[in-house]
Amino acid sequence: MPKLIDDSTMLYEILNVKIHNTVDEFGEEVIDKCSRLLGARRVYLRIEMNGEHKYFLLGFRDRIEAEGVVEEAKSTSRGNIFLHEFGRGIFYVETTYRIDCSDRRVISSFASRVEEVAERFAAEKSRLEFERLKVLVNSIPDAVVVVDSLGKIVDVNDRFSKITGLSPSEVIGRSIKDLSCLESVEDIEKLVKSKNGARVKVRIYGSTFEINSAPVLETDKFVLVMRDITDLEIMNRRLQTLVDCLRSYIFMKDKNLKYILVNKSFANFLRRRKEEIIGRKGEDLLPPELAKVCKESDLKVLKSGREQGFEVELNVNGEVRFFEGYKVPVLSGMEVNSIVGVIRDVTERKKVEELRRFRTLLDYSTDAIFITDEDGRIVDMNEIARMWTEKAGNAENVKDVISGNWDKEVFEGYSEDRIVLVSVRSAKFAGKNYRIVTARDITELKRSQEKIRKMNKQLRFLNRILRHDIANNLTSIIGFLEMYKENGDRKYFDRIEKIIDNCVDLIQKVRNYETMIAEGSLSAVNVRKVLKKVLENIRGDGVEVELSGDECEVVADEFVTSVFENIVNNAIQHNTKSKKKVSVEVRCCDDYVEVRIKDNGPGIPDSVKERIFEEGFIYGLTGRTGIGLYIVKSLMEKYGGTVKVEDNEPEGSVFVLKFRRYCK
Amino acid sequence: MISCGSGLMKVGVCTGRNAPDVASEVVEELGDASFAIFFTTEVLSEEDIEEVREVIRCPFIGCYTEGVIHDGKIVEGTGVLALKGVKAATELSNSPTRIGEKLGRVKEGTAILFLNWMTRKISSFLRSVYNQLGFNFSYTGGCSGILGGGFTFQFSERGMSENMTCAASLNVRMSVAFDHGWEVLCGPYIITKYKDDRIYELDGKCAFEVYCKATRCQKENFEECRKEYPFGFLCACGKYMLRAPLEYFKDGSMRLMSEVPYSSVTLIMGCKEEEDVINAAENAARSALMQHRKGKFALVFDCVSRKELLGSRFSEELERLNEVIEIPYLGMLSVGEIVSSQKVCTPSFHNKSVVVAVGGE
Repeated sequence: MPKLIDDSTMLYEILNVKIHNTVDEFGEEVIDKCSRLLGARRVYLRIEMNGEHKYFLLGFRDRIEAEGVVEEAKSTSRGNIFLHEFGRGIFYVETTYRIDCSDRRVISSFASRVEEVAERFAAEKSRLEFERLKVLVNSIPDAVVVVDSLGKIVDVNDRFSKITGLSPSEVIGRSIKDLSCLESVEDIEKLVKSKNGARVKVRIYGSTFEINSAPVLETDKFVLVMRDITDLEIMNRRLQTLVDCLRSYIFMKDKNLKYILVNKSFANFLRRRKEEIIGRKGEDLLPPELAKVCKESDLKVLKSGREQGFEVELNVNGEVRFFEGYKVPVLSGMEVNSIVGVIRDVTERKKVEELRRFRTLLDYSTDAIFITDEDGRIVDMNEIARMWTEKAGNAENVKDVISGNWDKEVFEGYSEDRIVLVSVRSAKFAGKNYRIVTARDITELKRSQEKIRKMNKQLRFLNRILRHDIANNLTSIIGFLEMYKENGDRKYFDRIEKIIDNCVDLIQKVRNYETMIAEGSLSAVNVRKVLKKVLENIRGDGVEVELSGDECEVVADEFVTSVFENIVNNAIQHNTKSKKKVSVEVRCCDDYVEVRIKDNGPGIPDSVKERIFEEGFIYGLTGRTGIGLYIVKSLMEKYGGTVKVEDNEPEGSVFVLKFRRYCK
Repeated sequence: MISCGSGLMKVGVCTGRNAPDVASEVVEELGDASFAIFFTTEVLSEEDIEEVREVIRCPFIGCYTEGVIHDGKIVEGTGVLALKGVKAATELSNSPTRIGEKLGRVKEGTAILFLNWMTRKISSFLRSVYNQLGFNFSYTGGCSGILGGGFTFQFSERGMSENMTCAASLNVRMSVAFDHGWEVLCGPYIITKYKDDRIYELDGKCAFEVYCKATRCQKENFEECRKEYPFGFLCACGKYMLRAPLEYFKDGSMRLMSEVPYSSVTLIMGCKEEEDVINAAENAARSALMQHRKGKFALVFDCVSRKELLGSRFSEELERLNEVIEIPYLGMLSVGEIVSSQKVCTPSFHNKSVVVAVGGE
């Protein structure tokens, strides 16, 4: 060793090795002192600190090079090397000079100091680490108990003492079985023996604790960490209650698609207890087809890590029900470790949607549709029906809206001024009997039918005249002409002339009939004035006329003249007396006007009274076309009136015409 | 131009205003150089370095200094010491490990390092370089720049940098010696509180108070006293390793020029006579030369604080060095010196010292 400037100062400095904050500072100091004070050219210091090795090198590129040199030094003896091995490491010093006895004493002292400080440093570090761990263990909210393999308590933390009310001195050394405050001690023993990190629950003074065990490395001891899960369990119960209250079916599956949580609704749906479902797979519980669908969607969620929605139609107890739901992945880091599924029975909603769609269709219907109870009280109706009901004073019973024969399933009825075709069907909803009443407005249809009927009647009438009457007349004319050719008698010309007149008259009446019967607007007509004019035309030439009664206005048109002319002409035509008499009486009543036309003719037998107004009915030798009275009846019907014939006293007939009185 | 040489190694030393010119001159004299060291008081540019590289065509290192020492005096401009017949490796880096790896291409010899004097933890830096190169190298060098000026730069054929360390390894084992001339004034003191380069307490007392009590220092004359009274640390080489105080703080702590050794004892050093300081320089030169009797060239690193302390008598120190060193040499005014010796082969960082390194075949 080189000559020291001041031996005592240097020795002091060499031996003044302190415990630093970090082991690196300690190593730096050793290296500095070795090089600066001892003149070392190579130094190797290895210290074991809490299971790890720290290395400090001088003059070595790396640890491997250093360890090679140190290993070699162990087997050789060189004068410039000092090697000191101690419990926690190795201290190697290589100098540029030969180390003599006095040098060795100094270096040895330094090495001892290094060892001492290293030990103290490590011990201090261990103590600090222990203290740190103790503080850590005491600061955690969990109770910690260290037991040996026999279950004897070795140590406890503050939390354990607080929970059990037992101080460390009261429990250390006692078997955990002897602690009366712990329930389910047998489970704890099993837990210790199992060594597989299993968990058990114990109760301490009403609180629930979950215990995890872990072996203490290289010892026969175990650490039992007791976590108070009372609040957690309460929260779990609340959550379970909450989830159970939901009508939706809720479940949770693990990665193996086994149920790990289900709610009450789901259990009820499967008709099993929850315990029977937990831990089992869908294929063990669901119908095969449904299980297959569920499994496919589960796998999709697991694979994609994304939410999946689905809809499924199931036959439940013979009833088709609709379900929709979604499955959500529960992530642990980037990996899906479970799936939460929520399923809702949407059958009722579907029905409502269906009903709404149906309702929309109903509202677009032109028919009135009522849904009533068995007594006809309206339960529901479509838009048209609502309008009819409003017009009927918001009637509550369909029978007040539509009148008709409600004993029939199909009938024609009336609603206000409408003619309706009603169809009644029975139906059963939700266990109740209902009637579906469909009413179609056929007013227009009926009018059209009536019009067609009338037109058919006219066509038949015209057809008969053309085909029968005029053809017959033409046949008669041909016959008379043949007879004239044979004997040249001019009387046949008279006969032919009469037949032709008859035909012309017939054609004229048919033409008038078409015009008169055709629909037109009706107005007020003073029948007395019309009658006066008609009677003036026939007065004289052996005909006596008489007009009496009130000035009245009736509902009619200009063809009302034809009514009176036909009756008056008939009265004269069929009257064979030399002095013919026609008297007319007009009587105004409250809402109608009666016109009575009397003659003194032969009268009409009762047997034909009913038929004289029929189309083409000809009676007696004086009968001609058979159209006149038919026109009278048709016009009176057009006017909303009636006509009938009665016997006149003492002789003749009286035609009674009843008109609607015109009201301003 | 001074040159000498016999055998394989040839040395050329030259000074002048312009770096490329002196490089040309030395190359002209030596022919192809194999390694060169530059000291310059001029602020060189990248273009200058490029020009020097093209002229000299060999590895070189250099640094900025307050003064180039040559021929017994301070020279303004650039000085170059070129060697022919040596093998050298250079590196310009901040990483001591990288520097050690690159310099390790030369198996043994001398490592010359020029650091920025503001580099933190210079001792740790040097020890990391040593761990790569080992005891088969001697170590010398210094910190470049102007004390308190802040500006410095180092360069090599690889380029230049203000903050990197420039280093070279030579396959020539140089003998390195140092001395300073300071003696123990007071102490020893146990450094009871410290951190990095700051001392807070000595023997449990406020460091600045202890310092002032031991010296004639007061706050007012601290700048003057800090040059005169450095701290000394024990060293196995038998001499004290000096650390110059740089500043004091309100809390009574003092910052030194480099880190304080862990759990160390320190002494306050004093310079009794200027003559002792000058003699120390001569001692360092003689010691180095004695270790290498066939020396062919020498490098001198003379701390700039010595110039400040000695003032006009500094020229005497240079003359004495010039008288003793009879071989071609080149030196610089350094701001901290790097030394390894036969007794302490790990490089250590000193202040206020003269380092003489002698090399030869």
